[in-house]
Amino acid sequence: MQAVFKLQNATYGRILKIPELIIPAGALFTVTGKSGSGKTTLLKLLNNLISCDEGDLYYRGSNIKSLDPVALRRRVVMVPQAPFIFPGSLEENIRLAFYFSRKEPPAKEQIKELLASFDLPVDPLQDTHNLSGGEKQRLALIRALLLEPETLLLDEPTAALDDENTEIVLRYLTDWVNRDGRALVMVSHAGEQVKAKSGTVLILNNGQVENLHQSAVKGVDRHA
Amino acid sequence: MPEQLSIETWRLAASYLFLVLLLLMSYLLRLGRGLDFFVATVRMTIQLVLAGYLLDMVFGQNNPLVTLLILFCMQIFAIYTIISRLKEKISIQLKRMVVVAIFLGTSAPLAYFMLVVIAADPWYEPRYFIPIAGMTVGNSMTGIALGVERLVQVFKVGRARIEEALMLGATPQMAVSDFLGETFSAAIIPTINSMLGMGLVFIPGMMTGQILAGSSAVEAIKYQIVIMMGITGSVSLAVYLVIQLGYRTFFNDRAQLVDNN
Repeated sequence: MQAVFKLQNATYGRILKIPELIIPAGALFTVTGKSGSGKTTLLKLLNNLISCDEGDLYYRGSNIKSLDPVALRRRVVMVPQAPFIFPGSLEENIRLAFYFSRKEPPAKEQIKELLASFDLPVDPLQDTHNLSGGEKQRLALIRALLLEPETLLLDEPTAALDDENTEIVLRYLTDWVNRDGRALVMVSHAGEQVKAKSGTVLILNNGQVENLHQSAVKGVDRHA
Repeated sequence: MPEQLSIETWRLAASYLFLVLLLLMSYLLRLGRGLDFFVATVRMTIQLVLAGYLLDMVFGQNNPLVTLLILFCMQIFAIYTIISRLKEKISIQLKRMVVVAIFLGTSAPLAYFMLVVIAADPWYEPRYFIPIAGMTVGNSMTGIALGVERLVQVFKVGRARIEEALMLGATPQMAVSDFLGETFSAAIIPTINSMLGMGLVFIPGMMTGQILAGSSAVEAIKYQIVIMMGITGSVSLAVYLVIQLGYRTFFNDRAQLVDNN
C-alpha cells in the first residue's frame, strides 16, 4: 500500500490531534464525523492551506515542510464545501484555474465532455451567475479534475446534490482514483451511498481519530 | 510684473467677517456647531501664523540638513496620520510597509523633481523644496491611506476568492492580482480627478497664490503643471509600493493566508 499522506503526532490548535494516520492511493478515503470534529481542518492541512503546530506531515515520502507550497498545491488540489466560482463563463472559470496552476488549458471538446458527464450545461460560454448551488459544486469539481492533479481533496462534494447526481459523481470519482497512483480524500457525512464506494472511512471525533474502517477494501475493521 | 498688493492688518481682520456670517447661519439653522466653526478658524489662524514665521526662519537658513529635517518631520507626521486615521487595526508588518512607502514614495520623486525638473540652485533651496515636499507628502499620504484601507477590505471581503485561487495552485501574487489593480485605481483616482477639473472647475491653491503674489498666469501654470506631474508620480509610486509590499504581509512563507491584520 503506497502512503500518499502520512501524519505523525500532528496537532492543529485544539481542533486536531492525530498520533498517526496513513492515507493510501487508489481508493476513496472518506473522512466523516460530527460538525466541528476537524474534518475540514484535516483537508486544509493536507492542502497546506494551514500547517501543523506540532508533528509532521509527509506527502509521497517527503516532509511537506521541504516542499514548495505552491508547487504542492498544484499536485494536491482542494475543492471546498462552498467553492468560489469566479465571475464569467464556465470556460473562463476553467481557464483561470489553468492560469493559476500554470498549465495549458484543455480543448473545448474535453470541457464539453466533462460538463455533459456531470449533467451540467454543455455550453462552456454560459455565464456562471445563474448556476444553482449543486451546479456550482459540480463545476468546481470539473475545474479541479481537468487540472489532472495527483491528489484531490474534496469537502462535501455531494452535499448539494440529489441521489442521482451523487451517484454520477461518486462513480466518476471511484473510477478516477483507481488510475495512475492517484489519491482522493473526501469529507462527507458518509451515507451508505458514499461508504459503499470508499476504500477507507475515517471517523473523527473532537479532532481525534475515533475509527478507521477499511472493510470496503480489505475487509478489516480496526480502531485507531 | 504687477506689484504685489500687501494686505494691511485691518483688512486681514475684515476677512473674519466671513466667520461671523458662518456663525450667523449656524445660529439661524440651529446647527449648534458654532463653537466648532470658531475653534476651526482660530486653529487655522494660529497654525498658519506659526507656519509663516517658521517658514520665514527656514527660508533664511542655508543648510540642507534643516530642509531635510523638515521633510523628515512631514513624512513622520504623514505616517502618524495614516495609521491613526485608519478605521481598521493593521498589523505591525503592514505599518512597516506604510513607512517604507512614505519614505521611498515621496523622497525619490522629490529628488528627481528638485534636481531635474526645477533644477533649483542649491537643490535644497527651501523656498522651493518645502512647499513642493508638502504637496508631495500630503497627496501621497491620502493615496496610501486609501490604498491601505482598501487592501484590508480586500482580504476581509475577498478571502474566499483568494483562498480558492490558492487551492487551485495560484501563487499569492496571482491570487490577489485582480484586487491589487482595483486597489491601485481606487487609491489614485482622487489625484487623477483633481487633474481633470484643474483650470476648468477650479484654479489650484498654489497657482492662485502665485497669481495673487504677482506672477504671470502662464508662469504660474507652468509651475502648476510640473507640480501636478510630481504629485501624480509620487502618489503612484507610494501607492504602488504600499500595495505591492502590503499584500505580502497577509501571507506567510508557506504561501498561506494569515490573520495578523
